[in-house]
Amino acid sequence: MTRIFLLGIMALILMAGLDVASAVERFPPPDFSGGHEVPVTVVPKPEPRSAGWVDVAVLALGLGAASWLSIRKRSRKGIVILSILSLAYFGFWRRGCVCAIGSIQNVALGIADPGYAVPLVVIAFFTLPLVVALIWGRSFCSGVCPHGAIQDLVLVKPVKVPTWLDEILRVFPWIHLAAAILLAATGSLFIICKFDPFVGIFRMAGPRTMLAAGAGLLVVSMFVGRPYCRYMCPYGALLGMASRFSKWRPTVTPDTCTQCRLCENSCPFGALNPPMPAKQGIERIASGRQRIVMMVVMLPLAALLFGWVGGKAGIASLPVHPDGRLATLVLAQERGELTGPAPDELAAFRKHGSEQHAVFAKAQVLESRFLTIGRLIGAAFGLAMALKLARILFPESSNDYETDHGRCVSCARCFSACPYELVRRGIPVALPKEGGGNG
Amino acid sequence: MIWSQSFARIAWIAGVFSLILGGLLVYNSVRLYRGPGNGKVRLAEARELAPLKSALREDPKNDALKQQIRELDRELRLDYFRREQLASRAGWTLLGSAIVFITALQLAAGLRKPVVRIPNITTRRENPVKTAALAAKTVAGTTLALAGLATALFWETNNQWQGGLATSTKNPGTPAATAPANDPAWFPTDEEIAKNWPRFRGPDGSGITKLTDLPETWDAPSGKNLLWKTAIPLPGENSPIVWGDRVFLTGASNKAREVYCFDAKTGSMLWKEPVSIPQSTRAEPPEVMEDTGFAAPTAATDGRRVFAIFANGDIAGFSTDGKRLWARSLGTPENMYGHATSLTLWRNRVIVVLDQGGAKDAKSKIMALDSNTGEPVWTTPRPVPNSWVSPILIKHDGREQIVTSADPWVIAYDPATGKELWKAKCMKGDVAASPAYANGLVYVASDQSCIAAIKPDGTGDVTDSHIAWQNDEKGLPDTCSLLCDGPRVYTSIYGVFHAFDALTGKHLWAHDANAKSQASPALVNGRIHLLTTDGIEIIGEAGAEGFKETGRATLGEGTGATPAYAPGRIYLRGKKHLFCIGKKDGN
Amino acid sequence: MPKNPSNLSRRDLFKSGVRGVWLLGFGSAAGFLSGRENTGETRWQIDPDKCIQCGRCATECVLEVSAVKCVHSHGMCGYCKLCTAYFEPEPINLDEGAENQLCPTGAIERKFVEDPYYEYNIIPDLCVGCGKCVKGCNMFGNGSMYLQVNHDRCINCNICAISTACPAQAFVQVPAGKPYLLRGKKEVAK
Repeated sequence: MTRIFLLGIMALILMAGLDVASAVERFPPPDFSGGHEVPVTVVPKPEPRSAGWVDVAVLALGLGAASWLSIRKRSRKGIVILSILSLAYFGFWRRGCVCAIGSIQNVALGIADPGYAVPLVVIAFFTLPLVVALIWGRSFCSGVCPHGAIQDLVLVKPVKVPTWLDEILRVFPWIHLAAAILLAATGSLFIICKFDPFVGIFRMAGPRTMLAAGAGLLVVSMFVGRPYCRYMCPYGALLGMASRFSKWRPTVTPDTCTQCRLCENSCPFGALNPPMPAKQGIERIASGRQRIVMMVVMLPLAALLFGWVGGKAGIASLPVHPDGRLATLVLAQERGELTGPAPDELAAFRKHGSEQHAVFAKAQVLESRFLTIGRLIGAAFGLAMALKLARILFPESSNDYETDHGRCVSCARCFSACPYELVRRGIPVALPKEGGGNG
Repeated sequence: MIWSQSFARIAWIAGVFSLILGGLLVYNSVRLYRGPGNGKVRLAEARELAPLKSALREDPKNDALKQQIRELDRELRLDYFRREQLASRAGWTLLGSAIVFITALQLAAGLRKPVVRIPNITTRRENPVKTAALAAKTVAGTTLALAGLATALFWETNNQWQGGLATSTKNPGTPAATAPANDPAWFPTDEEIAKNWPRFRGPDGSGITKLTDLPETWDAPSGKNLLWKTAIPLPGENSPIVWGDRVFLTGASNKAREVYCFDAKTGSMLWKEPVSIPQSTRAEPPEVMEDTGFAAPTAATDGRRVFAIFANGDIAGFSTDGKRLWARSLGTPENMYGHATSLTLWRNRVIVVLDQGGAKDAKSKIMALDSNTGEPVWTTPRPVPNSWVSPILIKHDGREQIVTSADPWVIAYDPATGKELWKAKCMKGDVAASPAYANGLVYVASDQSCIAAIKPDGTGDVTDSHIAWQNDEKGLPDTCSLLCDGPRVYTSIYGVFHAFDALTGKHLWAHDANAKSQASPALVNGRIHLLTTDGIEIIGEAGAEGFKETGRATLGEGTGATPAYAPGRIYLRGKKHLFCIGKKDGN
Repeated sequence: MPKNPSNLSRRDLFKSGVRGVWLLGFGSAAGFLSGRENTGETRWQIDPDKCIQCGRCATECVLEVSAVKCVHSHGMCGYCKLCTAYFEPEPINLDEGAENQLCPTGAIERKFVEDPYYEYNIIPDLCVGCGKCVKGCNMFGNGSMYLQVNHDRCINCNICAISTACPAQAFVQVPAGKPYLLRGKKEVAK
């Protein structure tokens, strides 16, 4: 009997109107005759975590220490200790957030959307490592970034990546950067955070795929030096660009280079350049005039080509934005193209959403935004690729073994390969003659 | 070497241990999250209990089954929490063993290396030029391949929404989706606007109605010429607006903000919708003067949509059926008395003047929002402090302009782009009286400066070139807006009515009605109507010599709002009620 | 090999110039962004009015057990004997038996107050944020139960993983000082 009665009540309620959006008082709160006291709603207080400025202070200290250790002190041991500390603090204690790599997206969104205020801490995390890179090179990568630290610490037996493969893979950070800026600036998605391989390890939790990718990448890192930094990190791409113009940077030798070739294989990241003969050598690739003509043609052409591609890619990414996705779904439903059960997005839209034409109008505005931003970023990407080529075609001539201005992550490994460094440290060695043993 | 070997052994042990632990973790996680959905369906409850539960439903008296369900339920829950805890502990242990593994490996590798070794290098030196050539070829090749791939991938992609797809999605199954209603570029024609009372002070913001069938007298308390009156839930100083058979109002308190729609025929409330934006609902309410309140700005409608703004900077668009289209917070305006500037519409744009703070704060701005989405289309900063003037939209010599007035600048903007067209420096103090446009002149005034007429055909700073006349003797208005019937411009302050010559600016006469008024005067059927704060409508004829009162009508309720006019009807907002005045016999 | 001083200095000059431009760019970008009216730190929260109880809060959070849990505003509760948040649809009996409960983890406590009123309490340690009770309460009841991000657990990711998966766009960023969007009037932080 009770069951029938209950069903009746439910049916009544159902008829009374199901689509009432939210809190409605269907049953008035009772007046208790027994004086029962209604409890107050209790919510847990935020866990006290270190304030943002503490993180900024730690970052600044770390950057200073890394720069000092790699350029003045020339201590690999120091860098290792700093890496462990950074990994513990920014990685496991702060659980990967706030992070300079992810800050690219906040900054991009902040520039594109006047309604979005970037927290000051995030601005500091974006700017400080880049400014330091302009002065002392990529100190951030060496021992402050937890992503770099975790890969660097597990590197056991580095394998040299062949030049052609290395060059192909080094394009990916730029694609990552372009996609991240496009999607962040349009307010769609923060892909750097969403597809970060290591943050799952820092949190000891996360989607299975993220954890598996992190573990896999760490195993790879044991043999290939810093795969994320070299072939994925979008911030690394920016830092590399900045550090090409840095005032100071780590040098292999503390003294003079006799081209003994002892350091030749000491860099696990492919960031040590052998001496590059001046002019006459490079001329063999193409003559000076040829190269200049190539640049003049290539730069605008690359910008135009990729600008066009970027616009297209932008439009194609519209469904990544929640509003774009909703409009696409609503349209598909309108046209009867939707198969299977209606997705939750449509359920939510029908329940609370605005009118259909407002959704479409939003999509229209969004689409033109995607197009514009896509074109801009595409053009910038094209320019970056052209400049990459230009850098190879116009190499800086040098007589010595030198750290690559963009790629060196200041890990301090190559120092101890240099006999002059050993002399500096007071270790007695016989200095080799120029050009190695058989030079 | 001994050390190196033992480290290698430790590394081995830790490595194997980590592998086993990792495998266990994977197994545990598979057990924990069975089923579809991101591989994370918590609790096997649904799958294993559901058949038992439905069996019980068939046979509700089966106590053994009931017992079985309870036991399985308990078991499943315990299992779930146990595995969860296990996963967390095992995770940390795995991290520990991985650290041991890596440390031991590094130490073993490090110790195996002799400290100092200067070998003879026998390999051939790589040719850097060749390497560079290879790198250049690779980069160029990769870039080209990338471009080709992207081109192939996106060749078919085209902008579908901008091609007017939104407007062409007509589906016979859904009658509501008629093409024009979906057209984001739609806006009403000038004729449609002129027929209605879509904003503060009517279609052109002049306070003049061309209707001739309006009642000249009423007495609401006794019911004379009162068609209906309806209570308004929340207070507000904003004025009613009318489109067709619907009357719109807004009301607000320091907590809630609402938009109301009334049936013009019966006065029944058709809908009321809250404007609640989570961020601003939780923000501190703005401080306002009691006379201004939280809902001083008058709403605006284009016949399909109605837009409302409140003292806390919340603005929202609704369909005239009461469906919320969009809402956004423009931030709480810093305003001494409370934000009071009403909305203006231009095509499918909502023009918002947000004058706030002091002149040096540079916080004031004028912006146009897309009326479909509420997205800002343009925003232009204004070099003025907080003001209370509702702008008017005028068309002078074919040039559409939004005319604003504030301390010290009177500025006209291009409604399409927000570009400044011209500006004149002539106002001072708290500027609240809305401008009037007649005789090819813009009339502006404020009580601390002057009343002035400006020729709206200049560009740039026209202070020295385009001010036709200026008069600061007396009769300068504080809150009541200007009214111009052609030959004369009228102001009203504290219930005293002043007339100026519209072409020369000469003060003509003053008439003391012995009443206080906040509402702006209106011109109805050639007669001046002025509503006092006590709810008395003073009606009279104004001429070159003076003002002749021809009658008074009573609302029976205090008011600060300006009436709205529709064929045969006058809508007045009292402090508590919305009144509809009309001749009962006629329609 | 002697270095070519003029060539070197030209390159150095170029580099210094580019460096200056970079610094200027960073400086102005940082200044531009920090000059914007800053809302201060924010936290992620669910707008209960937008939530449609799709259940993704339980599965999408980066934490092992979601930071989203159910919150109950007792002041709005009807104290129903037949609580559609507590009971399965078509319960056999109105008692605490496992066969009648909706919550998969048994995280709702039901207490008799006086006839016919019962009080319901959420046990946060057991709640996994699946939102089943919330759906029941919103559909048939007063909506006094709703999901909230619990900030003792939330690590405030740069982009909340649940927010990107939320079909109703119900995740909003709220000021860190007031990180909850509670229904009803009474709110107290523990």
